[in-house]
Amino acid sequence: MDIPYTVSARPDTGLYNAKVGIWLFLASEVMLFGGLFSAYIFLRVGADYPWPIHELEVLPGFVNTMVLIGSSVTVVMAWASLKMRKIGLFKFYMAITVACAGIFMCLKAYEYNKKFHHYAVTLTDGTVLTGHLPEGYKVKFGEATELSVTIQSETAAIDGDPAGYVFPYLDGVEPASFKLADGTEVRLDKSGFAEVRKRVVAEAREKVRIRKARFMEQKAELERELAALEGSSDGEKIAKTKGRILGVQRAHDLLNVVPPTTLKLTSSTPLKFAVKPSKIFGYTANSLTFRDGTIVTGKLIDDAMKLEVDGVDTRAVVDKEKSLAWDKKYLGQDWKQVWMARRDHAQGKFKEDYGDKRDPLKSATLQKESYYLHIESTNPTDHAPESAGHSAALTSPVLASGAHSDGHAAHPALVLEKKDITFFSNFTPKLNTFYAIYFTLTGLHGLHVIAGAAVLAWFWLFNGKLLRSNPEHLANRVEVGGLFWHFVDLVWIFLFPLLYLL
Amino acid sequence: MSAAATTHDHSHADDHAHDHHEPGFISKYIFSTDHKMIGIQYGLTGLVFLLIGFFLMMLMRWSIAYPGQPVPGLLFLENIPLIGGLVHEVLGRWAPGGIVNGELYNMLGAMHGTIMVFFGIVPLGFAAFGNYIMPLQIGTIDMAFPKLNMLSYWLFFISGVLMVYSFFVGTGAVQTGWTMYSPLASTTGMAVNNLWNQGHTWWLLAMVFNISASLLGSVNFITTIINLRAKGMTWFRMPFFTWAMFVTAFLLLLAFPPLEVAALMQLSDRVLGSSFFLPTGLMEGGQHLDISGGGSPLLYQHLFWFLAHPEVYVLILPAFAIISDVIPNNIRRPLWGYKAMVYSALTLGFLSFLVWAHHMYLTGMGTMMSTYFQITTVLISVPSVILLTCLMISLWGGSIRFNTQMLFASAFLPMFGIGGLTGLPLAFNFIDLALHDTYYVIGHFHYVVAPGTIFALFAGVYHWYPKITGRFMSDKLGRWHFWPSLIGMNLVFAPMFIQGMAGFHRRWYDGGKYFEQTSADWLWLNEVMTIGAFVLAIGQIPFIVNVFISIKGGEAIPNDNPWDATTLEWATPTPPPHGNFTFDVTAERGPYEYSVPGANRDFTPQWEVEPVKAKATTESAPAVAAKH
Repeated sequence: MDIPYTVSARPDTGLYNAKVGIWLFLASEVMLFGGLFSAYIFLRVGADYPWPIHELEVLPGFVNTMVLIGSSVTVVMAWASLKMRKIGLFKFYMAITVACAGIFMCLKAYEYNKKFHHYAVTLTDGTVLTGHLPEGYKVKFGEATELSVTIQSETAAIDGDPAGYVFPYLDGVEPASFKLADGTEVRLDKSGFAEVRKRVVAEAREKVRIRKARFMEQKAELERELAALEGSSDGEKIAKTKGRILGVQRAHDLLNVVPPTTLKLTSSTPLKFAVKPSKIFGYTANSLTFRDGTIVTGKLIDDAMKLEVDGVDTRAVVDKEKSLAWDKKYLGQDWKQVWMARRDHAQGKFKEDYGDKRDPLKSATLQKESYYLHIESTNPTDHAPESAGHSAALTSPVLASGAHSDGHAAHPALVLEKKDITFFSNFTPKLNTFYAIYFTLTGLHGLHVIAGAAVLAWFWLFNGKLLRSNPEHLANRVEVGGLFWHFVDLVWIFLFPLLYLL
Repeated sequence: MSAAATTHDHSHADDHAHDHHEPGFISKYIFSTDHKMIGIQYGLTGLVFLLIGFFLMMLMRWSIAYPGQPVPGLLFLENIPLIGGLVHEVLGRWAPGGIVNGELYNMLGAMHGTIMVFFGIVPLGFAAFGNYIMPLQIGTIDMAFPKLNMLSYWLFFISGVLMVYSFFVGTGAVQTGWTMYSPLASTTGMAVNNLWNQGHTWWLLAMVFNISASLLGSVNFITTIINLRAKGMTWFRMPFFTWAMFVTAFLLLLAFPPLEVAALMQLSDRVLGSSFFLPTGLMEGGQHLDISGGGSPLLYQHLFWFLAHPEVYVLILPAFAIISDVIPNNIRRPLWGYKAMVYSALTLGFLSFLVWAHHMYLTGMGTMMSTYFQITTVLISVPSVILLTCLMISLWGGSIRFNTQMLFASAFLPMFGIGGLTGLPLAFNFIDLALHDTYYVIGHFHYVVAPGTIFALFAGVYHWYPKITGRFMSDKLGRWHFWPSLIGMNLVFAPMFIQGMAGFHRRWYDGGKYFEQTSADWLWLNEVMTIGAFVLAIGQIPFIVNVFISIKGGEAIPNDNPWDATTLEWATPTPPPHGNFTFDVTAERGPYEYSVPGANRDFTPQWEVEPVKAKATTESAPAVAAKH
């Protein structure tokens, strides 16, 4: 029993099953990416911040476009070769197609990786500084002696886990032993804490059990009283006792959820922590709350951020000339001069080119050219446009940092105070909605590339049996796989201009 | 019949063995690629989920009618060894003293909606009936992609397991309503150190599996209908059942991807910290959240309702499909306006993509947009009314056989009518502003899907059970099932219109007791509805009993076409073997040739090559077919 029309086409529809199937699947895919493209438009139109334009490196994107278009051609060549039963050629073209997918993904990985190590910091007035964090960003906390660990026994959404969640962020000192409130010493390594946890939960359960038993005793006593009252004429008292019995029963029933227990632990030696902000709920000058609910009491040492700045974006600042970036504790006046010269240059050129024909406020490109300063060296004078003829003496307090071994140019390094920072992130979906939709679109597209390449590689490498017994069937499969591959290519052809150029 | 066979080399030993292959237990009943077994698997799983969803609703109804009072038996269940621990994990943790608290009520509400829609009715109406009946009706041997079909069921199964599992994790099941509106759903319960402790994460994961399953299913359905129709089965000889499945499959195919987009974005908001649906300056607990902002909660609603409105028609079209087979069969007349119904279903499918924002009138869209969506919403009622009217007119002058399936089918018509007509006022934004999120809306869509779709599903079970098992279901138990169901359903849902117009909000876990000063007049209806729910629960017992005892104990059917039906599924042996038909089946005429003037039987099956005029009429289908 075979399903009809798997190899040859049905005469009246002119299609074999898989071809109908793949077109339907592609229709569904169109709706998927259609939804994402609509989301892109929705987010861009409704954005309440300057939408990032021309931020992505065009060259890798362009190369990828060419690579994918090329692979779309070779996949057709592979199919045609198979149709003509030129098996060697079929394998050759298939290999090129899969290799193209590999190149595409490598370039993608390069682009992603760069973004993961690049940061943007939003200051309180809206200024955005971009750059690198040579030491990462950590909140440093010291003189910590007391830990308060909350152990849940029922709804374990947040459960104290010092060994797994707190101690990895210790700065230097090995975790010493801790004292419980009752004076017993405990070790908080994995097995040690598991033991403590087990004991605490058992105790909490036992407490609940005892209290429940006490209620039952109370109830029994009240029932005895009631029995004694039976027959007496004091109706009011009987009713009262009955009510109390019900109340006790209710209190007993309500006690079926074991409450959490909080342990106070005291360290024999003061501890130091250096922790990423993503691992904590928050901190004050003398306490630090981890995401497992553990609260550490101690003293805040340092929460400043060292940033090697490679860009200043003042587009979202109301008074751009008074941006915090130009404050003397940060970039200072010399850089401001550079920025102003560039701004005037860009605006002058715009006026020259367009006169009154275009509104400068409506040109996103001009806005970016005017208010975004790209920084390539530690020295402001390197940046002055020739026409401005600017040559200020170096009075900036900017620390010069040497060129990095990993290749990127030297940049002025700033120490940002925590009180000036409202938000920071590397260039990941968290940074803003542009990067969120960028990663979602390209990530999903990348998954399609991987899946498509895997299927095509399968046809190329592991379909020897079908190739010998029924090459026409294999050709159908390659055609269907090729149609999918064309779709993947087409999505990229839309993605490239949308994300890189517009 | 197989074109593929021409290019196959049948001298291979393994091919030869394959031809006479008797599938073992696992490949026959578990990892089966046979569309009928997959249909049964979908059906049973769907029924189990309907039951689970029903129990969640019973707990909610208890909390609404008797707030602050312990659910009867819950504490008792918790104290039973073994099962007790399970009950405690799922419900007890949030029900101190057996009393449903607000948190638990929110979980029940969200999970009731999700389970009923995505795990109960769609799998039962579309996947189960569609899988079993549709290939038989178009006269093919199986679905176009049997392995994908199996994969589809197992993906669905996994998604069901994940969804149920979400009750067991740390924070319990998701609490933000079945719609999962952001920003609430994006930020609730974010204060955890492990995302897998949240029900929401599991909900999203389960939905990804569910969507993949329905994608595979719908591609399979459409391909099968386009490419595997038997000889002579032209488009307008297809029963309306198959047409409705065809349209439903398109809705699933095209409407689900935007939900997948929404789910992925929400997952990204929760896991990666992005701000797709989070506006600038969002605060929680007096603190600014550590997010960039700049996103839009409205975007979520657009993406969600772009799926969820077509989803409504995914729920209702299979019901029309079943009813349009049950009614002509039991009135012994052709379906009135078959072509009008087909075109209506197609129009319905198309228009259902243009009405989604009528769920969002309250978001303050401009008059231009709301006018557009009001017009399309009113327009879409036209094809719905045509469908219902055609079915009603079909009844006219028929000699109606009131067996159980016909009882359910005839109850479906007014029940769906009430559901549909009460929806019309909601199409207008000025009325919707008042009724939005009240019990009126709940009453409206439950009339459509509960006494509407679910009655149709019951009718389908009674109608096709003899084909699946070779035995009738008990008519007596059927009546014991029908009447309590009808009364119970109306007791539950009719008072909701009154409460809704009195302003009762749909998410009050105490049923409005907190607002007693204003809600006192209609609070007593809560108790009426809860009693109705219990009547409904008791009414399902005869059905469950009936399904199981009739497998062995039901009356055996006299021939392969016990209802004297005309469509191709009745031409197979009973139950249909692997490969379905014992003869080369062709469609000779339209699907509803009942009481054809001049014929000496009141039905002329699609597969009979020439109208049988002077011959004996009691021959069973294969006997007729065997001559050819």
